[in-house]
Amino acid sequence: MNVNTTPNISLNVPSQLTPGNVTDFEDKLSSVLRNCQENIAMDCSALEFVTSSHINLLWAAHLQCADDGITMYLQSPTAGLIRVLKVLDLYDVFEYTNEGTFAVTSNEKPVFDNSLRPSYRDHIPADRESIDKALIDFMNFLSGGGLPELTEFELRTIFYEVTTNIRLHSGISEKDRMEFTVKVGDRRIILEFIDSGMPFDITSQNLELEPRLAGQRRQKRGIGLNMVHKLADRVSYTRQDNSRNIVAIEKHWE
Amino acid sequence: MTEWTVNQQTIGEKIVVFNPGKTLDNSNAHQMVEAITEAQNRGYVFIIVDMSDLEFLASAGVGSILGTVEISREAGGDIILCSIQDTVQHVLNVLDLTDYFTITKDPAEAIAKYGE
Repeated sequence: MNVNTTPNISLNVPSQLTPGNVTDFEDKLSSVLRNCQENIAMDCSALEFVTSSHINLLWAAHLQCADDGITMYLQSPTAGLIRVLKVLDLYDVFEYTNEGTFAVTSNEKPVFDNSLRPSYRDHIPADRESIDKALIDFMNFLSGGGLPELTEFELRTIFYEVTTNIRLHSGISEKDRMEFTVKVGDRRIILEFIDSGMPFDITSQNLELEPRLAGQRRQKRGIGLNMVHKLADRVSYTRQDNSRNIVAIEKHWE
Repeated sequence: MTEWTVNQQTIGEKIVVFNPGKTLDNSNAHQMVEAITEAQNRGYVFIIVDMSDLEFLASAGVGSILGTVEISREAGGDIILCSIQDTVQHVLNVLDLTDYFTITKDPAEAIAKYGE
């Protein structure tokens, strides 16, 4: 269950677990619980690769918090963590928080806000099946977040079109991975797609689709980018370190 | 993996009704083009695309129709889209295609209008 709440404190769950940092985590948790916080969030944004040790850690923390009458939330769970929790039938056991995912910026102009923290991350192999699976995971992340149904549909379309464009045209192999990050603000969301393929500035393409001309030309391709630009409120492209394409897409809703 | 084929039903000698199922995207757009082309080559000048089950229309799916409709029109026929769900209608609106494509409420309306 996702809740719009504000945990009093957040603890980072380490991406790599060692005996040292597990003990450190447990000590911090015990210290926090002694101060009688009402609720606590476990920041899971770093958990790209989830092991049984992570699950054991979270489960033990969940039990410890429950014993002390404190609600524990998983904050910014990665797609990998959500997958593992669902496989283990533990997804519904935990509570999830939108704090850190929904920032109060209602009067802000639509800009790409780098102060927003990523609330969802995935590394997607560039093959069709992995993209389809990643899309399902992304839609699961969005559901219950209070977005209008049409906005969810538009985001689904944007995700599909951008990842498919990367898969088909960037030159990366099916074993290469795209990075996908989501940042959420107040009634706005930023999707970021990163790949290591050929440079391709999505913002510089001729995007006009004149139906009659397209029909006469028997046009079957080049429609995806048109769709992305028309569905998005803002699109940007950056070529980083001469090796990575970063496409950022912002979407607002009422 | 089973190759996708479009569900189709002929009505008389000039009409065929296609139902592409829940999605029309990169996984099956090519087969949709092949099916449309084959129908056109066999003389079915009116191709009705029943979208009652279609939940997701990707750009490749749009292209499969956009890239073949003029062939039907040049032969005196058309590709008619019907039973369009709200999300698919939204895609067509965004792409400004609703005036360009021929759209009916359902297959029955299209058959009544274009049938012999």
